Amino acid sequence: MSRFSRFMTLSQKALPRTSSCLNRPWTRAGGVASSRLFSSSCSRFSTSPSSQDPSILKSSVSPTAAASTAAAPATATTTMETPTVAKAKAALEAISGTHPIYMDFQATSPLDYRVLDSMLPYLTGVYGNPHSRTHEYGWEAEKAVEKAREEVATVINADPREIIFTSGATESNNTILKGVARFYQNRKKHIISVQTEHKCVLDSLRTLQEEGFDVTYLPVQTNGLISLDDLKKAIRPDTVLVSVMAVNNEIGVIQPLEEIGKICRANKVFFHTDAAQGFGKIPLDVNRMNIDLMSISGHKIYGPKGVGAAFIRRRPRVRLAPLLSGGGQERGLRSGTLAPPLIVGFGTAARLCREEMAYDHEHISRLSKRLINGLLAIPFTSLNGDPKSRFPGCVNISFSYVEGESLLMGLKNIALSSGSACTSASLEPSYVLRAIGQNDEDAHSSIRFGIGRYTTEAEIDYALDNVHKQINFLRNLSPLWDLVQEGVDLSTIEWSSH
Amino acid sequence: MASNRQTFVHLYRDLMRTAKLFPYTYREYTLRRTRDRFKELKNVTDPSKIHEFEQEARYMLGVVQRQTTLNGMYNRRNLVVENADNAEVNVKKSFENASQL
Repeated sequence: MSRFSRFMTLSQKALPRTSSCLNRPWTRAGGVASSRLFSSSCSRFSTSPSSQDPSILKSSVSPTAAASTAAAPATATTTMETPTVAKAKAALEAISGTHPIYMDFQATSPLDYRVLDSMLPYLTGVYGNPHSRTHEYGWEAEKAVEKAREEVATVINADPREIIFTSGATESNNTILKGVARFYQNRKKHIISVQTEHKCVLDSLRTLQEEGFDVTYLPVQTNGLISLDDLKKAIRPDTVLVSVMAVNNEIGVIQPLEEIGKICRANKVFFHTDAAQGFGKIPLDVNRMNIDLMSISGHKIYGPKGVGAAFIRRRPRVRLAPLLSGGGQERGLRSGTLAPPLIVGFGTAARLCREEMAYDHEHISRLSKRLINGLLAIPFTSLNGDPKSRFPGCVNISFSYVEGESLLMGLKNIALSSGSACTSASLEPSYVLRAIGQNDEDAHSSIRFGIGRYTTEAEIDYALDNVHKQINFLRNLSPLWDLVQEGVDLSTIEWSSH
Repeated sequence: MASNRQTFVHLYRDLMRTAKLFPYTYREYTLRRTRDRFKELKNVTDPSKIHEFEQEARYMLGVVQRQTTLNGMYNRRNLVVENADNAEVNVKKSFENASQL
C-alpha cells in the first residue's frame, strides 16, 4: 500500500462514522489535512449531499479541462478507495497541468520564498509596534525596521536616513511630486516630466496643474528615450522638479539618468526618478547619477505587495510638504505606523536583489535574447523601444495584422499583458506606444512579455510555440493578411467608394 | 569540526532533494540557483570563506525545508509546462512531507 493511499485512509479513520458528518465542508475532499490542500480546487466542484454515488462523482468531474484521465479513476474503485478518496484523486488529476505560466513580471512578481521566510516571525511572534519606545516588543520591531532600511539604502548607495517607507510606489510618487511642488510653490512653479510616465505620475501632475503649476511633458523619440536638448531647452528659472522614470514599465527602455542628473544639478533643479521597475535590476547610484528623489516599489522585486519606499536626499536637503499628517513618523514626512512584516520582507527582497543582480541579469538577458529572436522571426513584427538601452526583462512586440486582444485570448495558457496593468481595463491603446509614434492599429496589437528571476527556458519555448501557432491561426483568418500576402499596400486602399 | 568535501556533497544533495518538493516556479529556480552557486564556490580554498559558505548552505537548507512544507499546504497548482505524469508524483511526495508534521 503506498504512503499516499495509507495517508488517505488514515485521515478517513479520523472522521466519526455517522452519515450526518459527511456533509461538512472538511469531509468532502476526504480528510482534514487534504482538505486544506484541495480547498482551492474544491470550490470548483459542486458538492452534492449524496457524495457516495460514483455516477454523480463522474458528472461533476467531466466539465473540467483534464477530462480524459479524470473519468478513469472514478470508475476504477479498489477495495480501499472510497468515493471521497476517488474524488480527491480526480481533483488532483484535474488540477495538474492547467495553470497558466506567468510572463507578466512588470505587473507584479511572485514573493520569493526567502522573503516570506524572513517575514513570518513578524507575522507571528514579533508583533510589536516599531514606534513603541518603552518595551521589548517595540524595540525588536524597530530593530528589524532599521535593518530593512539599511538594506534598501545600500542597493542605491544612499544613507539609511534618506529612505522613508510608504505603501508603494504610487504613494511615493504622490508624496514626492505633490510635496516638493507645494513646498516650493511660492518661488517655483514649473515641473518637467515625460509623456511616457506611469499613470500615477501623470495624474499627480494633472492635479498640480489644477492647483496652478505649469507642467511640460517632454516628447520621446521613436526609441522611447527623451532628447537631452529638449530637456535643456525646457528648463526655466522657475523649474522646481524634473521627473523621468528609470525603466519604462511598458517598453522597458532605460532613460539616460546620468546625463539628466548632470543637467539638473547644473541648473539647481531637483531630479526625481520613478525607479519602480529599475530598482534592484539595473545598477542605480543616487550619488553618481545625481538623483535627489526616487520612488521604489516592493512587489516588483519579489517582495510583498503594499510596501514601497521614497528616497529623499538630505545633503543637499530636499524639503517636502508631507501628504499624511499625524504623529511625525518617518522624519515627519509620512506619519503612520509602519508594518514590520512588509518592511522586513521589502528589506530582504532588496538585499537579495543586490546580491543576485548580476546573476539574475545574465539569466534574464539570455532568456530575453532567445524570446526576441524567436518572436522577430515571425514576419511583420517589431520590437518597441530602443534595442540597446533597455531592460531585457521587458519585451514589447507589435504583431501587425493581428488584433491584440484576440491574441491574448488565444494565449490563455500564458499570463501576458498588452500595455500596463493599470490601463488594461480600458479599451484605449496604450499612451506610451502612441508617444513613441506608433499608429493605433500597431498599438492595439502589441503584447508585453515579462521575464523574471523565475522564468525558465521551458516556459520561453512554450510561449514561443503558442505565439507562433496563434499568430498563424489569426492571420489565416484575416482578409487583410491575404491582401498583404498578395503584395497590396494597405495604405493605398480606398475603403469608401463615393 | 573541519568541513570537508563530504559535508558539501551532503548539503548539495539535501538541498536538491528538498527543493524537488516545491511547486514549479520555486523548484526550477532553486535547483538552478544551488547548482550555479555550488559551481561558483567549488574552488574556494580560504577556510573562512568555506565556513561562511557552509553556514549559508545550512541556512538555505532550513529555509527550503520550511518553505516546501508551507507551499505544500496552500495553493498546489500545476503549470501547463509541467509534465502531467510527474505532477501527481510531486504532489504525493508533498503529501508525505506534510503528513510527517
